[in-house]
Amino acid sequence: MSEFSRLLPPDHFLSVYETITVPNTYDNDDAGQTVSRKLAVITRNGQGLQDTSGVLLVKERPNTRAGGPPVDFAVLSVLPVTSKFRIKTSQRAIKMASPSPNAKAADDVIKGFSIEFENGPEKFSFWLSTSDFSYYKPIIAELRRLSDLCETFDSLVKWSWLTYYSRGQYRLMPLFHTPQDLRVLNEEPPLSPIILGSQGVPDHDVSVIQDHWIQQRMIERKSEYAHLKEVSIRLCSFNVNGRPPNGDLEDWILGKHVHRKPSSRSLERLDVEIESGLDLSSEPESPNTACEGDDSATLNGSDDPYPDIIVVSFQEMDLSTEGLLYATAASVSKGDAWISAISEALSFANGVSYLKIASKQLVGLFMCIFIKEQFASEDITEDISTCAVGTGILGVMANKGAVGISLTFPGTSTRLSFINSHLAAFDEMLDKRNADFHELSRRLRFVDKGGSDRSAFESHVLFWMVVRAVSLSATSAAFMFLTYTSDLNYRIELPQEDVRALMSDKSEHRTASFQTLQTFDQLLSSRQKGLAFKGFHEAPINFLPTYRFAGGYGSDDLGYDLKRRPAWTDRILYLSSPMTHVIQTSYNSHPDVMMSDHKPISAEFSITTHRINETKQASVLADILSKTKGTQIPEARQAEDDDRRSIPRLRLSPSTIEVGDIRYDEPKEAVLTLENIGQTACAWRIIPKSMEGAAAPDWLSVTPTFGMVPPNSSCNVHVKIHVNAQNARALNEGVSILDETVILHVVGGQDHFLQVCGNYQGTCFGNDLNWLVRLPCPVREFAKDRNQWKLLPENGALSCPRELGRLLEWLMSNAVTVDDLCIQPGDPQVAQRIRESLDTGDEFDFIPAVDKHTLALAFGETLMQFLNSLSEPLIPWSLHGECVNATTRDMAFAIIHEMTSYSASSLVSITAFLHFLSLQSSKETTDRIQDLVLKFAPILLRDPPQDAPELVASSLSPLQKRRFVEYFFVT
Amino acid sequence: MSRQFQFKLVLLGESAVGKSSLVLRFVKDQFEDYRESTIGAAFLTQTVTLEDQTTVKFEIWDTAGQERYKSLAPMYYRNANCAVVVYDITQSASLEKARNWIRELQRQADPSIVIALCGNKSDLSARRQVTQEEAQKYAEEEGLMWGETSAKTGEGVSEIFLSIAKKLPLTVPSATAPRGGASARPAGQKGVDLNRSTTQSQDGCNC
Ligand SMILES: Nc1nc2c(ncn2[C@@H]2O[C@H](COP(=O)(O)OP(=O)(O)OP(=O)(O)O)[C@@H](O)[C@H]2O)c(=O)[nH]1
Ligand SMILES: [Mg+2]
Repeated sequence: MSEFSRLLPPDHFLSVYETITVPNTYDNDDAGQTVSRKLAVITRNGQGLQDTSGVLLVKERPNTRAGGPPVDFAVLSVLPVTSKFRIKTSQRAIKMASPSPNAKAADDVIKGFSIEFENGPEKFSFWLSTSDFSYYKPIIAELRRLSDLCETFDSLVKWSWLTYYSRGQYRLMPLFHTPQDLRVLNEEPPLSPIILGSQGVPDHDVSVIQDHWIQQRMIERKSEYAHLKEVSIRLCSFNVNGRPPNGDLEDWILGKHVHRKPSSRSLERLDVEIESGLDLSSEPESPNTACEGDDSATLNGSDDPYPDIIVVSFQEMDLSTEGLLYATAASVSKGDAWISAISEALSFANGVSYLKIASKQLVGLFMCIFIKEQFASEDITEDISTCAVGTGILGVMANKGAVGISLTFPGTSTRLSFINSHLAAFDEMLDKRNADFHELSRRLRFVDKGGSDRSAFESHVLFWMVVRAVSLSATSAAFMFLTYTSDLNYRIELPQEDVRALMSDKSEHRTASFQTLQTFDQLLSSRQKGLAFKGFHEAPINFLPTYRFAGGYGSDDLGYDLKRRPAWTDRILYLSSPMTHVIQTSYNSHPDVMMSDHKPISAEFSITTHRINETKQASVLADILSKTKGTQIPEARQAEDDDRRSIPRLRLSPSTIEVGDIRYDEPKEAVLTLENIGQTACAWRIIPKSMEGAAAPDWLSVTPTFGMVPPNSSCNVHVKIHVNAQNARALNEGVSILDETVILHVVGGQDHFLQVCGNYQGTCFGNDLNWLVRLPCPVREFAKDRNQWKLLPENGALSCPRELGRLLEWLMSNAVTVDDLCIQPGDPQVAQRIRESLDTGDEFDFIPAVDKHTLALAFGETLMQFLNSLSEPLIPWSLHGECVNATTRDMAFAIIHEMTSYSASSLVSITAFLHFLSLQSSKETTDRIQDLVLKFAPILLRDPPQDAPELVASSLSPLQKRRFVEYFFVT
Repeated sequence: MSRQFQFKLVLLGESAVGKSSLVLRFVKDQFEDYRESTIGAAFLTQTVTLEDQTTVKFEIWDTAGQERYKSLAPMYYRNANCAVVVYDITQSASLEKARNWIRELQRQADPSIVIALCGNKSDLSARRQVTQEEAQKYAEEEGLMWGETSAKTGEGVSEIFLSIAKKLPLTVPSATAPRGGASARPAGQKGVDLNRSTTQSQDGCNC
């Protein structure tokens, strides 16, 4: 029996009912009696996914645990309320156990209702006396409602939190035979809340850690039971705005693989980079772990560079009004026209032929899949399943929605699912949009040939989503930015000018400009906040927005419609199971395709598919399971077993980690070995020292944070120390000998203390300007002897930090003619040595070691890093609003008077230096000013950290920041 | 029916006074001549049965005596029902440390905590530095339980735990509202708040 006395913070009771159960089959103590029991429905917030609920039959009893709450709850039965949840009621009379042997039997019969709850094979029932029944109607209705709300695909892992209440007795964690929801598969499993000096809920933690461990081992050993093979997949997506195919599509369909036939094309175009955007192919290749031997010839048959599968998705293929309601002959023929255009494009694949194996259409949404001929067989078409869901007007009309195709890659056990969707306009309320996404998730079900269906997320291995995420109406903006306050009507948009200006930035600034723009991208920010596309991945976007293009006079220099805010409306995201290794090799747009108001996009992936040998898989699983034997609660075992060796015992080596000198931004790593010297498997976790505290300070990280070690084996834990701008300040102001204790808790048993020691070398980086200017000497000297030195009084502070002064002085006398100073990145190692000299106060005497140009760039880099590391930017956040509102040079200079004298003089020194730099340049002065402004505006007016947006009045326009900084260059 | 109670017990005291050895003797009735100093905190449980068949289960936290871990001790004596503060009768400095622990417990721990002062290594009385009179007098002044033990011979060990068990408040906690646990019910729906316990929800038959 399990017990609990309080709910975990993310859970709450939906309803609780007093009830009476007969017969008492749950609890031997009161067998044969009628007893008071409670029926509770508890719910956990899904945080971006559907909420999940469970129904509990509990017995309340006094708590004999001293110091605890006076009552606790013994859980007699738990059922998750999934879509399979059913309730049966029936009339029933039951016979009571007679209180005295002489009483007449008839007196003891009570009429009532029996209520039975079941979820799949599991069930529990209880009995109510007649008068009670109406009282239960609401809860029965409520449970039915909750069950109806469930996504029809129930991955029980979503209900695994219920194990906490059933104390491990009710195991919901999936093993390999259960289909899993890809969206939650990669998340860390929930362990019970725990702090030092307590035990948490050991049974729950052991079961969670053990299941996780089993899964990890299964993944590690997959080559023992699966034949692995790399498969390449290309996804192409295009919102065609109702247009028919017109022009060449091969660059989009085949990307860089296009093979130009010399006869039909001019030779010069052969090697031209025709894609715009990111080529990710330089990423490390996945280890090729394919099994040797058996039929690898047929499986690894393709030596050509062409993708094995090409999936092409269209949106708005048909814009006709009748098309919104039903498929017309016209819309079908539009699909055919596109298919022949694609086929034409595919003929550019040299020596490879593709076959279309599937297509699916829902009015304007259309998708088709082509596969290399060698993989196309009879069975492949048998295996394909498709889906279509409309979410447009009234929830059924198909102007918005999704279509999907799912198939098993031939010769493997890897399921690939592709979704092509067109989501509702993002200018609606956030809640509404998320509801749309969740509705789609719920309703997306792949139906196979046999008529049975399964959720899109029930993919064993892989799930893709091609999204045409944003549709703009005239009044809306893709770059809408929602403030972090809960008032959603108060929203700030990034103005058109900003978007266009950032998009037009010169190529050397592009990465930074794109990053800035993307902080205003709704899809990215929604994902970051966990509001939509939970668990999905998207490669960094390195292409220009794909919407909206206009012809001729209505467009800007880049061809974008002047009336619309350009946006990244077309996107490709993916999800994959931990078993499947995925590498995205490209993510591009194809600006040369002119036929629509959108640009087409494409992405390419290389994935590891597997063909599973089920017999081998079962024996590997059995082997892994055998190692977990004995992982039970030490406490329980200890009572019955006196053998001391059965207590889980871990040996930590080393128990003290000495890392020596710790310097800013010079990470150090150490490995800790956990050796199991006991006789039973041992589950462990890292726990915090106090209720509020984290397990370790920011600069120290320990991974993994939980695990299991079978007897006679060991595992490694990585300890990493990294002091950076976010955590240096407290260290600089504190003691220099670091001595941290990390607590490694053996579940249900002892705590081990792991000591991490080092000598912190203080730095001028990452500090408060106010502290820095009051230092009477270089940081290191100050730290060495705190008794001798005292911080200068506020008014005795230097005008600008000595370190900043030293940097500027060096740059003024050595680097003003370096044209790419502060533009090109500097050598990090040289920058490190410059920083060290700033901290110690030593001369910059390493100068001869590197050439002058490298040195200059490193100094420039150090200057920018220093400014970026300050805990608050040179211009305090409270003034940023005023800065961007300054519309004249005088207004800008007036703001300086509101700053502290040291901030003001620091700012003036830097801007004066930058101005001087721009005048010395051999390049056009205005160009140089432009470059420097672009670099320094986001530094001097740095945005507050994401968790504290309230530090500035509102989100600030990047363009206005530039304008402010520019005032300091005009003479 | 027998009654069972559960209490959290914490052992405190200077390093090497024999805390871990005492626990080992109490729980396993064993002794090791050479023991590694505790780096962390060991967790063990042991149940004692009193004359009236009441059983008391101790959840024992054996802490690290080394000075560098002193700051973590409050987390272990937090919520503790009883504490055994150990000194080594052959080291008068260890009694000094014990006094510090007791002062700290009196200031910081739960006011109802039961504290026992325990002079360990009584088998080494030839090298005794702390007299029984001195320790006992101090214990009386502070209202503590006191006893001498030898983890090596086992003398006095179960006695000290047993007398703690007897001194603990062995009453069923009254059934009032537990802390924590939010309750939200759709409006207008009848129901019983799981957190607002009623007398009829007591264990047993209600019919
Ligand atoms: N003669 C004798 N030796 C004892 C007795 N109790 C413990 N020892 C020895 O004293 C040494 C220290 O005992 P521990 O139990 O490890 O001491 P501890 O208080 O747990 O020390 P820390 O874990 O460092 O806080 C060991 O070598 C024990 O064998 C005892 O009653 N008599
Ligand atoms: Mg010890």
